[in-house]
Amino acid sequence: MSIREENPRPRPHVTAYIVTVGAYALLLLPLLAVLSYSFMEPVVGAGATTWRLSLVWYDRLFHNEAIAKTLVTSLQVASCATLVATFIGVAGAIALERGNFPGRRLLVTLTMVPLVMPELVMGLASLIWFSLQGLELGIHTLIMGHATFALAYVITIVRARLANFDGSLEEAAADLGATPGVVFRKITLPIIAPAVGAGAMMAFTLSFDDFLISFFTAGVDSDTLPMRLYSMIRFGLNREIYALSSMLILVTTLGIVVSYRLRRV
Amino acid sequence: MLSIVDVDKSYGSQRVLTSVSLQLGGGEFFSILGPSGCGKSTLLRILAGFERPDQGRVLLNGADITAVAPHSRPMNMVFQRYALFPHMNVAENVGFSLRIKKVEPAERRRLVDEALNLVAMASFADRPIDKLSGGQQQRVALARAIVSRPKVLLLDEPLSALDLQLRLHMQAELRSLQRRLGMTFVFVTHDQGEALAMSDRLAVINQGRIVQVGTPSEVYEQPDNAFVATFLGSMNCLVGQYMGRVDGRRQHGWVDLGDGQHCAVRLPDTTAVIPLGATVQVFIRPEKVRLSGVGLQAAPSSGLGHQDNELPALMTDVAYRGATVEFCAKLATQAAPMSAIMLNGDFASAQPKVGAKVRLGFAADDAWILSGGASV
Repeated sequence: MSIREENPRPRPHVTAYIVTVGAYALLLLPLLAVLSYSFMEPVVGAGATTWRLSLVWYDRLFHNEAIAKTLVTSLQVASCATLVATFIGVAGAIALERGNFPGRRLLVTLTMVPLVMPELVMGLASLIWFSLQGLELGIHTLIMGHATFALAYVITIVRARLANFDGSLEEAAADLGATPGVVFRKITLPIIAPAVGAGAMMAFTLSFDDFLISFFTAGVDSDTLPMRLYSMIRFGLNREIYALSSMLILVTTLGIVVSYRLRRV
Repeated sequence: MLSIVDVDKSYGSQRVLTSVSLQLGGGEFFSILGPSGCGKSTLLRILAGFERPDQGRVLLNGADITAVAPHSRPMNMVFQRYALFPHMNVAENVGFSLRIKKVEPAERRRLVDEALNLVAMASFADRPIDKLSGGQQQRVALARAIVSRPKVLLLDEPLSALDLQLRLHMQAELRSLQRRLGMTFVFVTHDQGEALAMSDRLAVINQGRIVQVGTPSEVYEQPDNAFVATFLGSMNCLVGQYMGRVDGRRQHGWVDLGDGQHCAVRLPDTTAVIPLGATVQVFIRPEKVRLSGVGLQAAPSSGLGHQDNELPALMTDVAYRGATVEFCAKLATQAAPMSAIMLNGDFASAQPKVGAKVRLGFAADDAWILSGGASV
């Protein structure tokens, strides 16, 4: 028998286990189904169809030029939107966390708006705004649309880090002769770097995944991967869709995992 | 060398400092002592340049530095929680100011080693900060602040996070470091023992005002007012009615404690006249109180026969403290018991017991009526 002195957690009731397993099953099983289907190739034999493990759908996917083109678009949009959102987001987070100006609290609240606003509304609003401005839709409007909502995530994550870190570090650096610019480069930035990375990763993942805002802000020739996926589904389910979905699942999961890891540094 | 002239500071409607003026000499160990929230840290932050005073000036060697940014001031600060940079190791932390000043790497290494040697941390140069104990972090923070030889070192309660043993040790080390460097130290603390033990001079601050400046013995032996008297060291306080001067003695007066008991006290130096019959507080240091009684023999050195006052009391507590013994005894006329601290060696005979009848003696010169305590 071992004695655990430190805050022993109560053992959960058996119903808690059942509910937990059920909830995670509901969450993960559909994704697992898509993943496993993407690796199965039907073999038509005499009378019955059998299945075997295969990468044939991935092979077809990679040789599909239309999909390759949307993948490139998606990567471009996600990279640019991430860059823009991270740059503005870090500056904004510092202003909102460290600044002392009228309306600061209101601005903090307003940065949350894109997090809770229905994406449909955000997309539609973006579309209306761009057309009011006479902007032709294309990859640039996509980037703007994505950067806008990704910004909210970057600001939120970086602000949390700033709130936790001891402001006397910056004072100490200034006291030791560092000008404000040097303080930012040598002290503030290195310390918030993990959060900046986490925010950027989140921004990239969300942009790469996004469908609704892309749907409204993309131009004629700037379809993204999720948009391509959607149009493929409308022509019936085929196995390439499973392969494509699996890849999106992979990228997203990876992005989220990395983002959370960085946030705990 | 360093002067603070008529500094006022408020945060919103809250007044933090009121017309604070101080003159610090070069190479002086100067403490700023006060209870928490008295404004002492704000004063230090004004010296460092993190805060701007609303009024008044800060002068360094005659030059007005009130508006000079922190990074341009030849003063460094040791922060309460050390504020070491977590993404740098010990040597990088200590060398930070030298790197900013673009000191040659070889020279930088030499100076960093020298500073780490001064705080006995030379063997820790390559350690990451989070692998150091509190005391070690404290030393690194010190080394970082002195490495570029500032004219003034500002210390914001640097010992408050350490445990008692280490704190006493660091007090002695800080003192000897200051002597070796000949640097001016401005040491902010709420710990009166620390301030008394370490300072050349100290300023006592209360509610944003300086209430007394002087050497530790001046402030302890001749407090200007009731706040200083009670804040530094422990203090007995008797309450009674002022009855006028002692015949033939200009400095002394009588206080009626009730029940026909009187004591002779030393009057304040101020010209203010205490009205007859006014309720007054009489302050007496516990170590100035001597006692005699059943089972007790006062040593000859205590000179009980020369005491001006002797009051009967009932022993309520005896606390043995090793080198000293603290007795608490209740006077019939007073609500609070009076405490007497005596050296262990002053007693030849048996331990006095709780409940014993004793007599408390003290000289009139050691019983003070102070401004701020004149009326209750």
